[in-house]
Formats: sequence, structure tokens, C-alpha cells
Amino acid sequence: MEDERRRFEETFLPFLDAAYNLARWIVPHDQDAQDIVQEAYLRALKGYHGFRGGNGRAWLLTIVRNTAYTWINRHSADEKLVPYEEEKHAEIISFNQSGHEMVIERRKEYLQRALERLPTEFREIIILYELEGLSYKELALALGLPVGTVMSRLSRARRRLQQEFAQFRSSEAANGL
Amino acid sequence: MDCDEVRQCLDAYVDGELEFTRPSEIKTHLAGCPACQLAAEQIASLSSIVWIDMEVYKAPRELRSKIRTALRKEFEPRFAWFFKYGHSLAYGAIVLAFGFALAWTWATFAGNKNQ
Repeated sequence: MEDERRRFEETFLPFLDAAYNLARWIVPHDQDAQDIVQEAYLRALKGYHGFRGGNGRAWLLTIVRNTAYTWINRHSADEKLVPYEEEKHAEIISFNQSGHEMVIERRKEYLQRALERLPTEFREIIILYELEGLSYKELALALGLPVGTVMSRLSRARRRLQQEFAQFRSSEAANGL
Repeated sequence: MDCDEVRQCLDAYVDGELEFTRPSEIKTHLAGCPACQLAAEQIASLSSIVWIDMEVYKAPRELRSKIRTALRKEFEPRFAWFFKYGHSLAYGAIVLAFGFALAWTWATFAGNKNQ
């Protein structure tokens, strides 16, 4: 049994950053994301016998995602889920940066804000595909959707992200920045 | 394929997720349609912006050790009894086995004598 635990840790602990990143993008607070990830690892351990090899990262991220939604449902009932505080979480741009660095930092900031404005279902699919590199088939398994729906959801998520991103950039232009 | 059909699966095409003959049909369409070509470029460009610029949250250090502790605890209750009573149980099993062997020997020899 000790061996089993060690095997589990060796297989899944390397994906801890990915698990935390996903949870952190679904819920806004660090401590909540940590609780979700911890719970997800315990769930994964319980379901470890059902894991038939393959993409362990995708398997674990599916559990993290499901745990996050259970957590949201549980906590939204007693209104503990605090909405995202944009000002608090926005990146601070240092004024002594060079012009090029400023442009990069601004782009990062706008992207961050644009992502935060997306509905969770769009945000999670962007993260799972663009950042975590899940294939369409793995996305379908993780999200419990047919591949065709994954295709259209990802497409809609990108269009929406593009719009939000463009909005920030045009407001910058309007403000003469 | 017309523009509407192409747009429906353009993301999957850019992502290299389309199967069968459709990629070549889309490729042909893109070669003659600047608007769809631009849309494909925008998809690819957004993907790379997200990949390069998106904030990636790293797990805090203490989370790893918290998870390790929780995983260990998960194994503890089921096996704690073994470490606590394991030796006594093993001795008990030996005594029982020895007792059975003795009884069997006695029964066998006593049976033979009576015959």
C-alpha cells in the first residue's frame, strides 16, 4: 500500500502546478483553489484503481475541474464565493519600464482581464486547450461533451476572448495611451 | 466548401484536429479566400498570445506538503491496526496452527491405535 501511495504521488504530483493553475482560473482566491486541489487529489486517489494509464495529466485535470464545480455549487449556496476583485488582482505596471516592456506588460494585463471576463465554461476550455495542451478528444472526456460541441465551444470562447481583448485595446487607444 | 462551412471548422483546422479529407478542402478554400485566410491567422495569433502572455499560477510550496500529508492520512486508518496488532496476530496464528497440527497428529495416532 505504501508502494501504491508512492506510485500515485510519482504519477500525479508532477501535475500539481497544472492542477492549481486550472483551479485558480476557475475560482478567484488562492486558498479556495488550494482546498479544491487538495480535495481533487484525495478523490483521484480513491479513483486510482479506475485509472487505466494514458494521459494522467488529462485525468487529473478532469477531477480538478469536477471538484471545482462541486465546490462552487456547495459554496454559492451559502454565498461564500466572493466575486473576482479586478482591481486587487490586476497586474501593476511599473513606470520605469521601457516602451517595449510596457507594451508587453499591457498586453498581458489586457489578456488577463479579458480572460477573467469570460464565462467559466469558456475560460476553462481555453486553459485546458491552449495552456494544458489537451486534445479535442481529451477535452470531450474532461468536459463530458461530444467532440463536436467541444469544437464549437472552443471556437466561441476564442471569439469572445478576441472581442474582450479588442475592447481593452480600443479603450486604451481612446484614452490616448 | 463555402465560407460559412469553412468558418464552422476553421478553429479545428488551425489546431490540426480535423480528420479525413476536410483539411485539404479547407486548404483549397483558404488559398482563394483572403477573408477566411485572415480569420485563420487571427485564430493562430490569439493562440500564441494566450500561450505566451497568459498568467500561469504556480502551486504554493506548502500545498505540495499539505497534499502529501493528506494522502498519507488517507492510508493510515486502514492499516494502522496492522502495525498496532500485527505482531500479536502473527503470534496468535502460529499458536493456533501449532495447536491444530498437534490435535491432528493426536487424532491420527489415537485412531490408528484403536483400530
